Amino acid sequence: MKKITRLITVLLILSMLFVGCSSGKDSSSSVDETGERKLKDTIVLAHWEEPATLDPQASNKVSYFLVQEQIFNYLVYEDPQGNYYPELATEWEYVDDLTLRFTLRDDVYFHNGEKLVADDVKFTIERGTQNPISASIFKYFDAEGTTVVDDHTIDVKFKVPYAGALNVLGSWRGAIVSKKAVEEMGDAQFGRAPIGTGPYKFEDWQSGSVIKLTRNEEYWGDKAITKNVEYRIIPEATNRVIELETGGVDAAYNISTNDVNRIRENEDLNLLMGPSFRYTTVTFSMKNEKLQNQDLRDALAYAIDKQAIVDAIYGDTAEVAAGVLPKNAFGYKEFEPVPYDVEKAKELMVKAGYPNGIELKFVCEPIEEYVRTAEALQNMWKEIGVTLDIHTIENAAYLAQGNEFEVGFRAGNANEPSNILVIYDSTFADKIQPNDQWIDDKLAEVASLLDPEERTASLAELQDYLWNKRWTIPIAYTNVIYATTKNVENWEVHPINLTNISEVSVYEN
Amino acid sequence: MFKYVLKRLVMMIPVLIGVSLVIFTMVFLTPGDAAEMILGDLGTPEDKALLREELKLDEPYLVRYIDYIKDLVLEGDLGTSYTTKRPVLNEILERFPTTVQLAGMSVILASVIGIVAGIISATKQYSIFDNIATAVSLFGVSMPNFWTGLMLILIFSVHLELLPSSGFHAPRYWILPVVTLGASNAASIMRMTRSSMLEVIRQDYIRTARAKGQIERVVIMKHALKNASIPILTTMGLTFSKMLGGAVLTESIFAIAGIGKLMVDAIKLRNTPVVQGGVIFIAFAVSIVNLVIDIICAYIDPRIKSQYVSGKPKKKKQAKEGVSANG
Repeated sequence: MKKITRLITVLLILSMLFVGCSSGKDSSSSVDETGERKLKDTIVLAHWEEPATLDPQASNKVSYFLVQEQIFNYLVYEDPQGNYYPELATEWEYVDDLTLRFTLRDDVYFHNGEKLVADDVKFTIERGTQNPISASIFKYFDAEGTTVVDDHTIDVKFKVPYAGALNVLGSWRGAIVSKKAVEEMGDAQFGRAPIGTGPYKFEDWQSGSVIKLTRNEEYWGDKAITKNVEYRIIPEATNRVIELETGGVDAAYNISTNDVNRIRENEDLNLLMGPSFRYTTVTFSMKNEKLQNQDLRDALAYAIDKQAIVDAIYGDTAEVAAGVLPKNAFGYKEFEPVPYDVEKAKELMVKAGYPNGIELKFVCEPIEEYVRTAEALQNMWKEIGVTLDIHTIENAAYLAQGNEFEVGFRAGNANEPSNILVIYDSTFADKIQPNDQWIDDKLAEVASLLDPEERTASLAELQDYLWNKRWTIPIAYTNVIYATTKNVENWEVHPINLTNISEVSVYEN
Repeated sequence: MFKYVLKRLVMMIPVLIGVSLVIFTMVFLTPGDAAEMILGDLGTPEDKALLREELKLDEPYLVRYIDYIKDLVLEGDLGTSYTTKRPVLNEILERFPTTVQLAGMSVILASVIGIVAGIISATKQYSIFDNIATAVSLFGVSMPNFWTGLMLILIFSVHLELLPSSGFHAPRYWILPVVTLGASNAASIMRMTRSSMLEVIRQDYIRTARAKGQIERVVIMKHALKNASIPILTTMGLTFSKMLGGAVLTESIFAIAGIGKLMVDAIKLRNTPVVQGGVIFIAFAVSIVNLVIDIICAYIDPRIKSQYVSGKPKKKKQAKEGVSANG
């Protein structure tokens, strides 16, 4: 009898355990009385990295901006094609080359109930120029000279004519913050519980685990469809997909190419992919005497089968890079990629003075994508007698050792040409360091030309020069990849992960 | 006893200062610059210099250490995180409950499995159960946590789609990480229980208890287990302490926002105050746990208690209590 009782107890415990373990999906009907699908009131998103702060002027990572994007607004809205539309500003005009006048909406309120006025814009620009994290982006802004004309008009001043002004004010660090809230809360607290004017209000932040937002019911624009947003922090790419499969989240950012096929094969999931501003490139240090030899750089370029690298590492989620700028950046110029020609590369090696080959040191972070590219290069360059010695080193230690490398790897993600090409500037501390005055002048010119045609022409000249110098060998343009459940609709495939969640609908199962 | 506890608490001060000096020096000597890491490669040299000044990274080693200790001792201030600009203590206290919960549940699971299996193995030495349990425990001890965790995710999350793999915010999220962390520790507790029990059940007083006609359950649970429990408790305490600071891999695999993960992220960014504060906090927590375990042991075993009370063993009393404990 005792044995039977024990057996029943064990079975009961096991059954309870399995009930507890069930996926937790709602078994009730997902269709309401009218036969329409029911909207969920919370969308759960798998985010790859916890932001250190949600203060726009203290941020410098996409992982921070994608949350801030829902809480804040900009003066202007920049679409992925680089066109500008009114957002907090109804109109803007250049009063002169150094003054840009904005007229603000008069029906916008911050989440703390304060009305948006021109003082908040001036305060935001001042913060941008002062905070070390955003100072480089705001370096052409003249915060002191910027004047508030009236509550809804502001003259933003620049130190030099600056073509990137709207890009800065229309993205990321340009998000308008509430002066009163920052002054009352202090920078650190504001970064933890930000006050913006956006479609979602900050609700809660459980350190390292989840950030919660809730709909701003007083939003000046179209109100958010889904009431609550939860960003769950899941750093491992595969874990984000597992959570999607097991119903823990509704959508996941930054899908790894390794998981793409698994998602495609799962009929309950959607794989969303599109062009990004991300590019990868091999970089040569111009501090290194061997690599100052253009014939050697040309030989190395001819000895790379870029298509094979793209196929092996990215599959169909990337394409071979054919320019020094990302494909969809302003002023992009397409070039014919250097063909894979081992014989020609060998000839160039002889011409360069290395008929018996050479040893080069490749330094990169221990990231799978970088290491696999390095290994591919090692194999390909072996054919022309180049021995590539691969060193992986953690980023902090790499930067600390003074960026000493011969061959390196860079993955960039930006859409403003002067920010992308800054890696060729003499003042840029990392990677290439060509110390070429022509480049420095040209970069300053590109940053200051306001006329789009003149800017495009100047950029084309600069790109020709850089392409022929081969200080870098562009490898791939990688796609941005998201995955959602079938219940998620209207998800915009934004090139830098800044999808507007207020437009997304998510339905019950 | 009170004096002993007070003495132990006072002894923690030099330990913590020693820990702070070692960790401060190690972090100082580690190559890497927080300003470089925070600003990334788009930061200009001027911005980096500005930030270095703001974070006081330019100050000499001794000045920085003395400032740090001064703030720590006088104000209990562990510093401010370079990245979030929030007090380090706040960051740690937000994460610590999760780590304690994970470690606590894992130790409970490990202890229940380990002690029960250990007792059965010891009482039925060389039986089939004992052989299987010994083999399984060897397997458990040999399996690294990250491997167990990944296997559990593969089976229960990927294939069976039964349990979630990331997070710790609801009961069903607890199962896999707790089992991962509990499994290997159950094995070591089981082995400790078995050997400790085997040693005790061969003692004369156990034979006496049996001869007096005590039923076997009482002999084992009351007389044998009580005397065998000191090494088991010590193992449990050490396991718990180890998990407080060392559940890093499990926390990383299951994306659990615990103190281990906080520290790993801080190390990557050279966020010195968080690394230092985290290590000092963990050292403090481990010292407290060890003290608590010692106090529990003293209450279970009067021989230990008598040592604490008098400073040296009281032979007469100990002998008397020994007889009583031997039943």
